[in-house]
Amino acid sequence: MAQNIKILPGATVCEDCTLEGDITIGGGTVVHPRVTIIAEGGPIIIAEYCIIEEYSTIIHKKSDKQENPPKPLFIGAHNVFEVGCKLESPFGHIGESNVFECKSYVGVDVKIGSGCVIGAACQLTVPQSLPDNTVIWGSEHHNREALEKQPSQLLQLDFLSKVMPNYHRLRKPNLHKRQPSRPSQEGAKV
Amino acid sequence: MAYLTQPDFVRYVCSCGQLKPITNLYFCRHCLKIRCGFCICHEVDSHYCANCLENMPSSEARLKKNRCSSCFDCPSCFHTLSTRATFAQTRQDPAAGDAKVENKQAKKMYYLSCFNCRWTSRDVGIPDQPVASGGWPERPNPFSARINQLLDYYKAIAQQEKQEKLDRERKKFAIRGKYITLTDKTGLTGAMARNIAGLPSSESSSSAIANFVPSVASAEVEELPEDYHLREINLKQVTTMAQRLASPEWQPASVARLHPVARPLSVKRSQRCRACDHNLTKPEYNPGSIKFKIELLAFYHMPEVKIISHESVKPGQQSALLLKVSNPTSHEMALRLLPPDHQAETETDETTETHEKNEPKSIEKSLEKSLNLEKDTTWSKVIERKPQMPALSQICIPEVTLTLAQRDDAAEYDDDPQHDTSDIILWRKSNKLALRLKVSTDPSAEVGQPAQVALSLQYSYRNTVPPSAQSAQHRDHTLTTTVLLDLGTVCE
Amino acid sequence: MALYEGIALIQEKQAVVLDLGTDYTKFGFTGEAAPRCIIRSQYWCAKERRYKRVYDYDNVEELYDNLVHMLHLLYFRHVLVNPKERKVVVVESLFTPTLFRETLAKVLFLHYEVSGVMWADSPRLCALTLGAPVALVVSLGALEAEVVAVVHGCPVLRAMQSAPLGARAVARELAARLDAEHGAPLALPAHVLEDIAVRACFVPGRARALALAGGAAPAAGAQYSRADRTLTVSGAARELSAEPLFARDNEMASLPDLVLQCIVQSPIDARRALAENILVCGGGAAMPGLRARLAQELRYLATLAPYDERVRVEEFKFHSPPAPLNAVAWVGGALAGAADGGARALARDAYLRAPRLRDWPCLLHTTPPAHHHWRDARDA
Repeated sequence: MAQNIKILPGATVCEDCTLEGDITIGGGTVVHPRVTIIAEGGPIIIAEYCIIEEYSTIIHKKSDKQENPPKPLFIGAHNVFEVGCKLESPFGHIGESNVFECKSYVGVDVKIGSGCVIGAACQLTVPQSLPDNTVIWGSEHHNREALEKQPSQLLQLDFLSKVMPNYHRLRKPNLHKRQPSRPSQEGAKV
Repeated sequence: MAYLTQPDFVRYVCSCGQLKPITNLYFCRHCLKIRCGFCICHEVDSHYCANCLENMPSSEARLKKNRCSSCFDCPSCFHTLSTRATFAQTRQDPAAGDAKVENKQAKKMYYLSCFNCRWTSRDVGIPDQPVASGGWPERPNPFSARINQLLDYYKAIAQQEKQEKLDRERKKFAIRGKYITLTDKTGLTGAMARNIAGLPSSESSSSAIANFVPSVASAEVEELPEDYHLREINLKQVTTMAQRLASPEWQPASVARLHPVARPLSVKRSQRCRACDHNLTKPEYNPGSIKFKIELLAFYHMPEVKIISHESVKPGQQSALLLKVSNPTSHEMALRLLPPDHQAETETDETTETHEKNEPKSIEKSLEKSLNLEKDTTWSKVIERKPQMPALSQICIPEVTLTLAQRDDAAEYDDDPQHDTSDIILWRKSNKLALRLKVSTDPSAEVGQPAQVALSLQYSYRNTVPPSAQSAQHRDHTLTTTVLLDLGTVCE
Repeated sequence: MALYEGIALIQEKQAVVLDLGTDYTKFGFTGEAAPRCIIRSQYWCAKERRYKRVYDYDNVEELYDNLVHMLHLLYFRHVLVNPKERKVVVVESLFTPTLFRETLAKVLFLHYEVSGVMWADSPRLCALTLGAPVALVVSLGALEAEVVAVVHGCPVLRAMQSAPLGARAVARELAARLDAEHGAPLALPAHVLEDIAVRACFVPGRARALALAGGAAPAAGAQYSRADRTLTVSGAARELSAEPLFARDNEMASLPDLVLQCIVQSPIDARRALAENILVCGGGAAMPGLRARLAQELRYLATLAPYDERVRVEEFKFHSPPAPLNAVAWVGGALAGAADGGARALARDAYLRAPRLRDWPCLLHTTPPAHHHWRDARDA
């Protein structure tokens, strides 16, 4: 698998994580240690200001009916992946300001809009598409519609990007030319 | 032995006949009987909020309808709501000018938010509050005015009825009496006299009755709009049954009408033996404490039986059974194993013994007893259950008396077991004893049926209740208890 | 409200009102406008490690245990008062089995040592919430629809009607329709069916129902998502699930038929008043559009045989009760209990002397004192 990790300036990516394949990490995004991001079925593009916490896994799965060239998995800005969550998706588009709570699982064929919350330990395996601002919680997957998007975690991001370098080895941003506006252009291409 | 998630393998027979694990049983030191939650009297001790752990006196709790004044539950998922602060720019009146420039700092405003389902009080349009606790708008019950009218009306009617009955009785009495009062002579009742004199009637009841307007039926019934079936429905906007019933007064049908629910209080209970009215448990007053002032739990007073292991039970065969018996008391315990049917006989012994013991008690006590006697018998008759004793498998009871040492916390650190083993004693360690027993099963036992054996334990018990002044109470008793052991199912 | 709470504080102990329904139990204090709690009639059974419904019983002992546990839950988890020495108002159906009543009495008087129990039937209590002298109470419960005429505080026993047309009938129809649409038995649990019925279903008007029967396009469907799958609840399932309540057959046991028969069998001078004072209540009646449909069906059926000759009623009129529909009977109980301070309650010592409840099917309690049977019995 071709290693092609692009880290934009302003991103905080710990060294102690598994990144495989064609991955772009937008500026302002924080990737904690022990995160697994595997782009085996196509590129993964993570936009700005996401938080990806420990032990979370994002996999762009290979699938049989894959197009050529493979479509990227685009993850919008301000998404929060809490500890131990897992996102498996063959392709597609994850909106902005979603929260994937601890130990949640989002399987293939789940389309996620913006401002959604996947509750702790909720296993979304059934093919479905979540409209914007859906909140899912509990073992019976109760759901409701929130009035507005989840507030962004800018304070937390700010704190993390200050503190992380003190305690962890970081991967250096390796893309300098284009400014953080790049991911959104990528998104526009998708 | 009891488990949270597994079936109870060892169950004791309570004095009321219920089968319970030892952790659910109590031991009344005054009756020397096992009691369980079913045959004791529960009482509300104190009210508290389980979220903020604040005590609330019961009169205040009654006024606040058993709800905490500072904690709220989420109306959407019933999790506790948290108060969150935001900085809101105080909107300044442009006319106010510069006089309040220093006031222009962001003001802290609070709203309620649920960490589970992310519901917030802003979702339903409740304005943010300037104070962190309380002050949330309360919704009045839409029907309370009408209910109050109805209450007035029916109370007035009840009052009137009572008055009429009284009047009738008074009349009857007066006619029989020797003396004729003025009102009787003139045929005037008090109310009539007052009426004639133009005074307001004694009760305001008649006005409540006169002013009452009964409900008016209408031919118009609220119909669904003509195009109701054409509308798209979003189930997320309609509340579930649980959400509606969380506030019985309003029962909102639309998600937009959900309001935070003040958190219901919890109570601490004390429990009382119904036979002798002594407390079995009494919790500490402090809501944060999980300790008890009185706790007469069975596993502090009775030998505890645990199954170490057993061979599978087969029809017509003998299988080995290893039991561990421990003595939780601080006195040495003599123990005899008996067949379960032995119990009935010993129990009668027991009752006579307790009777003897009861006799020298103070007179008031016995008086009280005799007063309560009627109630107690009806009560116990209703509740008494005959436990089903297993007959197919039996334990071969060894004819020995065993002694169990008292509990000694220091001995826990003592490693080597004492080796006075015999054919039935496997090992012995401080207050614990492992027994090797044989279970013989009837050849007629069907495969797949539950295999159970029963066993009675006769044990010596030293009562540590300080003896009352007058009576020289026995301190040592011989008590019997029956345990039911669950040995899985009968195998081939 | 505040005034009565004050009075309740002065009074020795405020009585509690218990309405033990098949699905939901309503429990709270007398004199209040709403029950303190409406919870499912079930408790956690430690022995069987499952939630057990109170009405799940095979014998008296099991019922006794169920009631003891349920009341414990109500008293110590929800209302937080000592049951001892406190009066209870029991709201019951006129069709409550004797076994159930007697066991409940035993539990209340002997197990919880309440000081008195007022046994009150729900139709009368529902009528009490109106203050009107005559009312026709149509109560749609979980299992049964009961139609009882209450004339001046007296239920007309011989005109009582009941049929298994409660919320369960709707749920059953809904389940059948969903199964048919998805082509496989879905085996949805009861609480899910209830949830779908409550949130998605409605009762179309009569004109709309006829149009649907004539092949009109059904309403818009709804998406119901669960953990294991997302269900599509079709428009037909949403609209037609309540049709069993209105389906007429030769038995004439549809809901409007029950109402009309109750009117027909009532005393002739009360019939018009009954038709003009209909009260539809019970949790099953809370479906959107149900009351309107019932009114339309009544107006139509009254013009057909056999009713056109016997029900000479100009207009059917409906009351709206001062309470949520599922708590109407409970509110009636709260009013009755508060009005006379429990004077009509059966006291505990009276029960201990003669542990027998008054009941309408029992001749001991319904034979008039002047009846010759009493004399015969004395002579014998």
